[in-house]
Amino acid sequence: MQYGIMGNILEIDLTNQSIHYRSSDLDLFKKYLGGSGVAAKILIDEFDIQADPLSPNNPLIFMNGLLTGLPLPTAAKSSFVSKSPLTGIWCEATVGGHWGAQVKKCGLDGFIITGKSDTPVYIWIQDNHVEIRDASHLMGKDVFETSKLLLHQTDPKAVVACIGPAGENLSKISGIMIGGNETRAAGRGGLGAVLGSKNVKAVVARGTHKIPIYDHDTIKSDLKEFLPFLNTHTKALHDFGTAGGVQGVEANGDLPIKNWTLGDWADGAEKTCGQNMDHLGITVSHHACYACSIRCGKDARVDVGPYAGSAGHGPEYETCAAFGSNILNDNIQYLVAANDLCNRLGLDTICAGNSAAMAMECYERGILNDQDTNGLKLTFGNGPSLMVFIEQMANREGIGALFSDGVKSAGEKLGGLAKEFSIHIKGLSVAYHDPRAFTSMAIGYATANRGGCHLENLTYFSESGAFPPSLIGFDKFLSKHNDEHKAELCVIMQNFMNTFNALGLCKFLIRGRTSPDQISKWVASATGWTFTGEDLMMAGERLHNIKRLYNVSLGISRKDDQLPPRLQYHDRKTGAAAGILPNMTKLLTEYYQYRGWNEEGVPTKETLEKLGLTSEGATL
Amino acid sequence: MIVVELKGQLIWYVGKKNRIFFNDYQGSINNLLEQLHIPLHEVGNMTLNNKRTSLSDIISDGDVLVVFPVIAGG
Repeated sequence: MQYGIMGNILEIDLTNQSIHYRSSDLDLFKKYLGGSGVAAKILIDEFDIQADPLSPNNPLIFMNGLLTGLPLPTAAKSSFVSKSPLTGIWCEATVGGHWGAQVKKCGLDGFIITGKSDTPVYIWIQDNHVEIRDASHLMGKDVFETSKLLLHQTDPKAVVACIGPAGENLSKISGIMIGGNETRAAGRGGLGAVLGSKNVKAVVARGTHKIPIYDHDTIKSDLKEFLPFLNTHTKALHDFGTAGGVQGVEANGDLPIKNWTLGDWADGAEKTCGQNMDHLGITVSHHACYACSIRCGKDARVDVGPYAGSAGHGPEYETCAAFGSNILNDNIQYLVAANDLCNRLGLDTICAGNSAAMAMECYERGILNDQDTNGLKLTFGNGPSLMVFIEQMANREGIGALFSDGVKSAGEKLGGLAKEFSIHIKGLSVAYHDPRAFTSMAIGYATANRGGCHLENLTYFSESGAFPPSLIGFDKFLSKHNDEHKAELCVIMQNFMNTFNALGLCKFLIRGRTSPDQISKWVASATGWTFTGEDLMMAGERLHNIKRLYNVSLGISRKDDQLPPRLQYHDRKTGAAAGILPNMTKLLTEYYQYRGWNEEGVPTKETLEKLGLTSEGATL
Repeated sequence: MIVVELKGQLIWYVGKKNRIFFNDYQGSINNLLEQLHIPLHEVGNMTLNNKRTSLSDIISDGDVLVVFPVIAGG
């Protein structure tokens, strides 16, 4: 008997319209935990890593975390994994909501979609029954409409993962959207386009299987003490969502402002934060991901634009920065409407916001003019123009078409100075925590396996006092603006954070001061394995390295582990982090040493041996 | 007089005031913040007279305390 996992992975070949099951390899889960960890191993072992990301040969792998769907706090996460069409390298896009749990209840640890359908289809998974169905009637419809129709055509209790028009149009900043207007997004890296390239509009799941748990009583007893502590420490997240952090981020000099050029925006932050949305009655209700007591999801009323009068998932912190500070928009109504529009169209708001900021800077500095924009006034803070621009990006129309594939592509097409305004790492727009504030983020961003991602190290939690790093064995003094010990902190946090996507846990769990020992006890109770905190951290290190190996085989090295010039060389003149620039040479050198990589950023033979990755190193 | 400067979203706990002034207080920072009904788990880095400080430190007349919130979302 296997516990924790379901024992089956579904294989769907769209070219041949064939459906098969294979058994989950328990040893694989023990070594890579699940989620993006197991998916990494499958991607490397079974597929051509040189494949064009939008070709039939590039798979889309969906994998649940080891603990996804179990009655453990935040155990709602699951990962879509593929080679990214946006970056051309490793991509994992992790998502919460109720999707992963529902797939698991279909008896599945995951599914792998390969090939390409000749006609538009959706995939309907109902327990052990799987169908590939016609989706021609859904093409062109947005995420909310699609989800509603599919629930009607399948089961009202099902969960829908689908793409919007952006994914259909193969926009490389499109995501896979979950749960209709309660939108949770597997947003980053353009995986909506991977699904679109296969002619798949949606996957719908409805399951009734029970997930086997080895020792449910121990979990229940453990949570009696843990949950009240977690809930107390996440009360602000519950009350105001992640958007409740906008002002604190601004106060620390951590908020990107006007395409990453300015250092302070206190009045704007106060207008565009979760507390103000609550105060103004824009936040209308809360919702939670599966098994989560934090309930950080907020529903927001839309007051302007084509969908005024509706309500949907409210803007997260990242989106507040994307359509607030970084484009100098302090009109909360347009911010909420832009978020809603991206959710409907299936766009990643982090990339869409960076694209808008870059377009506005190009317009204001004369690189784009009214003729280029067909009269669209792309000035900073222009809410109505932002709405048009977002629709254009999703539909590949007008000036928006230039930015449909992200800021790197737009910079290369425009050339010249425009590249300076293109804020990305390895092709992925940088998420909205400025590495010139908490400098551990600089080395974290530069070495994140999917590009400009804040979630792979999350060290601003530690530097701001939200998560004591002593819980992961780091007890050195940190000063937020200098570089001492930051590379070491980054390595340890990256190792820890890698385990979360693999286990299916939300990273907000660390607000409960959750240690590797605590998590390993849950793993042991769920699976019956002998598993320690040390085993967990070793697995995290293994996961970071196997993804790095994938990238190294695609040509990634030290030359790519860099910040965009604006973040590396241009200090800001005002704000709490004025004058601060991270010392990337020092940070990278120390980081590679802590990692056991050579000077070019390639894992050494000794490191691979220690992690049990020798064969993967040889393969790649 | 003690000056307490609140940063970021902490202002919402005290009627959106950035600065609070205390007379005749001597005691721990911990107790002072509790008097202001600021949840201690929302308190991050702090400085007392421009030097890093912690909740158990004592604050007294003439001191300036700057309190940043934790950053724990997004």
